[in-house]
Amino acid sequence: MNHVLDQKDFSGLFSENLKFDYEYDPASQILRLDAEHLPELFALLAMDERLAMDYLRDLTAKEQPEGEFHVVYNWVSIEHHHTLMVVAKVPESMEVLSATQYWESANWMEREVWDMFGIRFAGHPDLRRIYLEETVSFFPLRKSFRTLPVENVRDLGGSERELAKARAKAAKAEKEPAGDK
Amino acid sequence: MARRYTQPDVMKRRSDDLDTQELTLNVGPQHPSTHGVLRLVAVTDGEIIKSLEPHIGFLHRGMEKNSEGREYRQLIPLWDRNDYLASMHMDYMVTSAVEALMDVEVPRRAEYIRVIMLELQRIASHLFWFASFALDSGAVTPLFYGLKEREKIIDLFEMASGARLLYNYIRPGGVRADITPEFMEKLSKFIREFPRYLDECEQLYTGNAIFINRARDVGVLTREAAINLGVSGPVLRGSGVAWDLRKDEPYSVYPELKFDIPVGERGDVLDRYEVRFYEMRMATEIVRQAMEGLPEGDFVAKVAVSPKTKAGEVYVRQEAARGEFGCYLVSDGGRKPWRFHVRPGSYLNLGALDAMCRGYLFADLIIILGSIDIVLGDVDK
Repeated sequence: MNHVLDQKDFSGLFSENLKFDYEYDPASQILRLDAEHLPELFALLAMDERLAMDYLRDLTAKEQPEGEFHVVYNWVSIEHHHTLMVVAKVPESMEVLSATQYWESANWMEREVWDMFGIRFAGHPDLRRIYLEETVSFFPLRKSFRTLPVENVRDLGGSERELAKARAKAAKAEKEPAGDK
Repeated sequence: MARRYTQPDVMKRRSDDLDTQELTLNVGPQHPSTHGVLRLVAVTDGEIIKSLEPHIGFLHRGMEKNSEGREYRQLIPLWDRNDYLASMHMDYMVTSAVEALMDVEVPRRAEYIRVIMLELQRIASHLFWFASFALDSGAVTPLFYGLKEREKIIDLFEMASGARLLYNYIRPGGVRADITPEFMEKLSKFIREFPRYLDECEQLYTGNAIFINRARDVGVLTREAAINLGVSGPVLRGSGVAWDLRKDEPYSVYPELKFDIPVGERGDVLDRYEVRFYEMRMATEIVRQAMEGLPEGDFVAKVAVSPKTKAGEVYVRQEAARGEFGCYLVSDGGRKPWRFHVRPGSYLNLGALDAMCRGYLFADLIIILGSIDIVLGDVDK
């Protein structure tokens, strides 16, 4: 869902140029595809004058509940004032093409995705971890990486008030037998 | 017999016969001018920087992972702390992402109050930048001028939200508390006096020959490089790209307000400096218009204390003090985000530091770093 006022419909352009399976929704401006086809897409977005996606504003990844990973790109064309979000499904080899050959801004953002998700970018000039140490062996934003349990009352399955009541009741119950003795 | 020492005739040797070698220099992580904990490794040839590599991550707190276990209302005070010099912008970023996945109509009064707060925050952030940037370029007095004026804005925020640094003020549906007549009175006094203060600052510093000699044609970032490197905010506009999300992808009630976008010509440190000063003037103008147009009505819509969102994904962005704050939210329809990613403004701006520094003197490094206005808490997430 983008908020740009003059958003265009690229359905015709994509069906003409992209010779593989993809899913495009002009209302939300999201294009979904498999990451193997990213080379064709990058070339089209960067080179086609009608698209001219010159500004890669964001690149990140997400893990799906069923365990597959997606790389998410957000482009904007400063020339034409339109945007596009691309969601690319990462293959099992966990390697996708780097966008650095067209957009230098991808350099640090891909390093961040490698650091956090363990997705490799082929053709990246310097793929090292950016936030964590090189010696670290885990990828923290994967769902399999567990953080320590957080003391959050709602995690315990009740509202704050209910929990306070239960606690008061337990404290009272503890006191009363002591009084009987 | 004493041997006579003969001085080698160094003056006769031509400079191109001299062997020079590249030297790697380290700055930081603990350095007073790196605005946080940042390490820079510069390869220099003589005094010229050949390449520069920032090392970041010293302040990494795992904010994105932390967000996944928390409810939306808890995200606002959490992300407040990310860019602590522009907390209102951070509040608005979380709020707009949550609102984009909710059916909620924000009252117009709330939108106007938000715009007033966001623009005041922009001024406060730029004033802090002015104070520290002047210090970076070797002047001490502007530090006191900048912080003195920022204090007035912080007092205003304190009146509205109760907090002085981390506000937790903008929330889904509106704002936390309505603004009072006393607030409006104090604000209009501030708006009246502030342009005169800016004139004073410019007299004090902008025209200073020593400053201009240090800042002009230093740290040049060309238009093409700026777009390709993904820089945003005043750095992008300083490089001559008229791109401001308030104009180009408008949000909130910005389309109803009239203001200009300052654009630089050379893309150097001085341009970025002037862009920020002009932005402060424009922000004052926006606040004045928003005060005049402030409608009556509710300041917050009816929203559950712990709101649920629709399942879906959204990328929202806003023009914050340090560039584009983007937020990518994936929701599975619950009270907590499935994935919460933030694109901080400072992150890619710092990534462009190498391109800005190449070919300039090592002594220019600190003033160039100051001119891109980073907050390391924001960079490191």
